[in-house]
Amino acid sequence: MVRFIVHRSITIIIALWLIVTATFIIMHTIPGGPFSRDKRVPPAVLENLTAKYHLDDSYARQYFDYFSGLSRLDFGPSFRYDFSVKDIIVRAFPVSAQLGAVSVVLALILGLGGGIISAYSHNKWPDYLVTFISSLFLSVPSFILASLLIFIFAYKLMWLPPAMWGNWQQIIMPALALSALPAAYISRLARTSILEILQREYVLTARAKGLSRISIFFRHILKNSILSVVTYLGYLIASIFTGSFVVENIFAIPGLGRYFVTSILNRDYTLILGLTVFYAVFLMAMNLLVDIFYLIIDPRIRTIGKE
Amino acid sequence: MDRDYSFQRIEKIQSKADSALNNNQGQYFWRRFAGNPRGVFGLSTVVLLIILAVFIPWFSQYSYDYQNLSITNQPPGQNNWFGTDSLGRDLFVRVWYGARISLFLAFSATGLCLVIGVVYGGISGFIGGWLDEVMMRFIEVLSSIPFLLYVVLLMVWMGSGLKAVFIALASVYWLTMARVVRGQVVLVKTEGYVQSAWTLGVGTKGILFRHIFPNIIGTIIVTSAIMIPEIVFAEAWLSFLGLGVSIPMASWGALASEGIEGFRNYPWQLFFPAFFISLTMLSFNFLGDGLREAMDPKFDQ
Repeated sequence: MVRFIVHRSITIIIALWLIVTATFIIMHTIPGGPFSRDKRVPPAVLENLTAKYHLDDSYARQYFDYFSGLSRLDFGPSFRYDFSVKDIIVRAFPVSAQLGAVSVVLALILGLGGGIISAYSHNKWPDYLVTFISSLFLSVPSFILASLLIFIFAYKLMWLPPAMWGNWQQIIMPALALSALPAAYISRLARTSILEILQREYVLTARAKGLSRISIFFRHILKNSILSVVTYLGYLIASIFTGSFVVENIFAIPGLGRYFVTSILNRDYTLILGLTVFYAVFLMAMNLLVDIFYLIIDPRIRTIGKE
Repeated sequence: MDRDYSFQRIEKIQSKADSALNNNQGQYFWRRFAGNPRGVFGLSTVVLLIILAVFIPWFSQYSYDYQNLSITNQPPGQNNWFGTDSLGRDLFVRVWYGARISLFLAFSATGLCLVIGVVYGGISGFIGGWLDEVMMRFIEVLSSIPFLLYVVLLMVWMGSGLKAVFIALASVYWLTMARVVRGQVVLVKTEGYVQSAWTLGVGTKGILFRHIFPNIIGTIIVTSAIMIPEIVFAEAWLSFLGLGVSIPMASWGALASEGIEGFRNYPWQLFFPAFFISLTMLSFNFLGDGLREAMDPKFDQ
């Protein structure tokens, strides 16, 4: 188990180094600097700006500075905004994290619920209904679902606010838009695994012993179906966070995803670099946690790791 | 001399048996696939979409970039079946041009992934040993990077445009294909009949093309069928972020993203591209499921 974690951590560290280096190279080779977009800047001002942000240092020097900054969690100043990249992350990440957490939980509840209903009514109408809905959700990109939700619930029915952030009504639609696709995927995973488990001999034995359906459900079915969903958790978190780039923009939510998108449009070097590195660290750490969590809850894998 | 001859005979008989088996397998596979209504629906919709995408822009009286500012934001009607956009361009023809771009991109990017993935995964799995170890570690490192971040970075670097989207998406999705191919090759390589073929003196080429390739082609097809909708999805996502193909060309994702700006007042500008993205996704998903279920005897029920 320790060996597994060490192995995964080394992989992640190499991957991180690759992505930091890649972002650095990419940002310094794209045509057009951060000041080349707006009205023509006087050469003296440009010179001062370049000096202020150390853009005239050698690439090796800038690369080294960037790394030493990263180790102090210093992502440098934003070129566009008046605050540092770290300030932006500190301010915007809680918003994204909140939305992300609600969406992950919602996806798990909807997905597991759907999967359980589907499996227990195998080839009857509730099963068909759940399968149909999940096929639909698997086919609709989150930004389309988001706009449909706004159109129906905000513009036509006027039940929910169309955008912005702050109270609980404003979290419903973005969370739904983000969780629909992963929920559909989870429900399919759960359905397949429950159907398989229901046919296992130990479930039949448990029935024969006289265990009630409910206790079989809690002792065997739920545990195993959660196990099959955990393998998907890392992907789930990544997809919700990358999905939030788009969804935060549609709902005008002041989260990290929105800054990420505007930073790309503004070609705000340090902000793109900083946010990419931050997202990469965050998502990879989450993946590692999921791996470890999986080791803890599944004894079979634990023993394989020991060999 | 005698010995060589008998080997040739064995090979000949074997290849006949193989092709008979493959034929039967193909028929069997096809029968199972045809018995699955969702798979058939998926396949026919995909074929229909491709045909329409090829022919409609040919026969339309409008072009995708023809602007008529006297008829901006028209609702769907007789002259413009899907209405017009904010510059008075006909949405019907734009949607079908968009279909060309989205589908072409999805198929060509999948094709490139297939070539790279089969070569990389094939070499890694077939040769094995330390080379396999190194090649797979490389993939492991790359795939622990959240891939959409990586695509965004590439797109920022290369600038938007059809070619850039193509390269960016293909450079990410080949990882999946390589991994799948490698796993299959390793699996087939250790099967008894392949081992016997080695012992009988069949060469590397024979093993690869007669034994390994026919056995993994099904998995490759299924993986490609699943990859296509993912690429349609990723492209829509990129276009939405403003990193997709450049204007006035428009993929479905770009059309939808344009449509969102005014969708409160002109909902059809979003509705049509959104509908076709979703329909395409749905039919490819069904097609992929159908193929997988037809291949996998586990689904026999």
